[in-house]
Amino acid sequence: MTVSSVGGPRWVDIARGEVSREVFVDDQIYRSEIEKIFNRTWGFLAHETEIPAPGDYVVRKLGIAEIVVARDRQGNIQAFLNSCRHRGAQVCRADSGNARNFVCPYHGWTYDQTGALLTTTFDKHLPKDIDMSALGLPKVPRLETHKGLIFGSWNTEVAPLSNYIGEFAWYLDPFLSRTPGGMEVLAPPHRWRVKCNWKVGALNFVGDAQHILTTHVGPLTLDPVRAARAGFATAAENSFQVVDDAGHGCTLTYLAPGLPENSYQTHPKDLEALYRDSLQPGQLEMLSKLRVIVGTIFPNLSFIETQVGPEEKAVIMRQWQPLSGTDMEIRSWILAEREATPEYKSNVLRKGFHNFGAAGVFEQDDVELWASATLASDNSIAKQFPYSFHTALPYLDKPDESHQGPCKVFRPADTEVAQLEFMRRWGQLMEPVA
Amino acid sequence: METVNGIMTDEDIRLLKTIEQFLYREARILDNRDYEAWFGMLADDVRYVVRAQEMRDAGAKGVSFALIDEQRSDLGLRIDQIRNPRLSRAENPPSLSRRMISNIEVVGKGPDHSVNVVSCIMAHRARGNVPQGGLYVGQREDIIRMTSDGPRLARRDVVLDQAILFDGALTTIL
Repeated sequence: MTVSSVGGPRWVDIARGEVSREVFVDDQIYRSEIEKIFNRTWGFLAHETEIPAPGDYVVRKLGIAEIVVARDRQGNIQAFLNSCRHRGAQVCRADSGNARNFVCPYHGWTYDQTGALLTTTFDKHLPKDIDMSALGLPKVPRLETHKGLIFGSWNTEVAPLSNYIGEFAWYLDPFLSRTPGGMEVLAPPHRWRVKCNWKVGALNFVGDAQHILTTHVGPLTLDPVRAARAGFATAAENSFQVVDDAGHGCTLTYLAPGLPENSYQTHPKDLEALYRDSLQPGQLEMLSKLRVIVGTIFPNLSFIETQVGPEEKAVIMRQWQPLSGTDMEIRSWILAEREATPEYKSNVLRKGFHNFGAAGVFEQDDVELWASATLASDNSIAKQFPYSFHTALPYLDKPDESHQGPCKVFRPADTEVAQLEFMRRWGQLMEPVA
Repeated sequence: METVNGIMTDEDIRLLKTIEQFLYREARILDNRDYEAWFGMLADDVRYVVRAQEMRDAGAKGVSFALIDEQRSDLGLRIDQIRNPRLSRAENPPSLSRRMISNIEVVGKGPDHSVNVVSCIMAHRARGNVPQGGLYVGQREDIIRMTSDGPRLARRDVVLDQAILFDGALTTIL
């Protein structure tokens, strides 16, 4: 491969529109990603509504380190390493729960809801001058929230989260916070493992309109709500990809030409009335005409809002947790406005996971093909042939000015611009130019 | 099943045998991917639920959450997708699946000649050319309605003994 101007010589070749298959299978690259990306940037931990009450906790990962995300007595959110300072046992071995203190089951070291050490149970034998305050569970040093999403970073020097999400928030916020009450997670996340690299999921969500009609021919053919399949094909011309320098991106699919404007306006009217108080006019207009938004917050948090029933649109969040070069675990949450009726929430939840859950009619065909690509790529012969992102090339330097809203916007939506830009950002972090 | 001194009546035995044969036949039909025949075993108002459970501390309230919660219309879309080679990627080529149903008990009787049944399911899903398959183990709680056309499944609630699905997305009917 030739040396490209950005992203280094080996893996991401922007000029040729090609990315090495190594990037999607190699365990050493995976370990390097954990250090260079996941341990340095912001990572999604949990939604605030998953731990509503004091003492509530969930166990998650930041990078590949297991952490406890807890709400303390004062109602503040805390996050710390789930590994006792004494001899390393997990202080929480459940997935979630409520705890007054965290007691290590091995020798009894006991921590409060902030991770501070209360007692080792053998304090009397400790040296007199020992500093107990230095023996708490290691805290996630940076912890910030954006519209209900809790993010953490192991990097004390990382720029504030608001800078990290930056202008991309204009596209994100209409799905995270569009009513005074904000959004609420409706059930524990579905979790399933797939034999593929985490970036395959991140790329699929950042802007892969080309897979929709082939991978998802089943649900698009069968579901009467999606009967306007032809409309989906022509919608790309009126639709956009958004690219942010931090690696975030999304695809905005608007109505196909000729369809009445209210074809996909399926937000309940009483909720729509509340959006006006929380969103800017431009965001409201986007929301009213949008059929599907799907996107990725770099590196591994994705989201989608799409129609899941005649009267329901579901907001779904996805995290692609790396486990190795060729393994990941998916977590998937479904959200709705807190002000929505219990009946609406229940319908959104059921229909949301009918489509996109661990047994989703869309999901099942995606992950089958992601695993297939991984299986077929993980050998030295296949690795001689980089993956093609060529349909990005004619559009890369030609942003479209016709869409309102910040960041770089491209039209049409069925090119690979957002995917190649995601890989450009990945390359910048993995292979800094000397 | 209510019994006198723990002894089943002839009628109870006939009912239990009928239920057992119904569940075994259903398992064979699903193993053979005869989805049309399976649909014929369902009541019109069937509800099909599959749950996973979070790992919680002993003594804490258990949390199970639905992975699938569908009535006949959504279930029909799901089945139409996996039975049609043109419309499915996950099930084309089709998985090979095998269901072991055991520990069948009739635990109660309800209205409309319905019977409450619990059983255990162990289902294995293999892709013929991949070394490891998916193993799904759990408890079923069924409501089976005895009609003039034979037993019909009116409600199934499968609780899996796991929080995470380890073999990709679930396409095996449990």
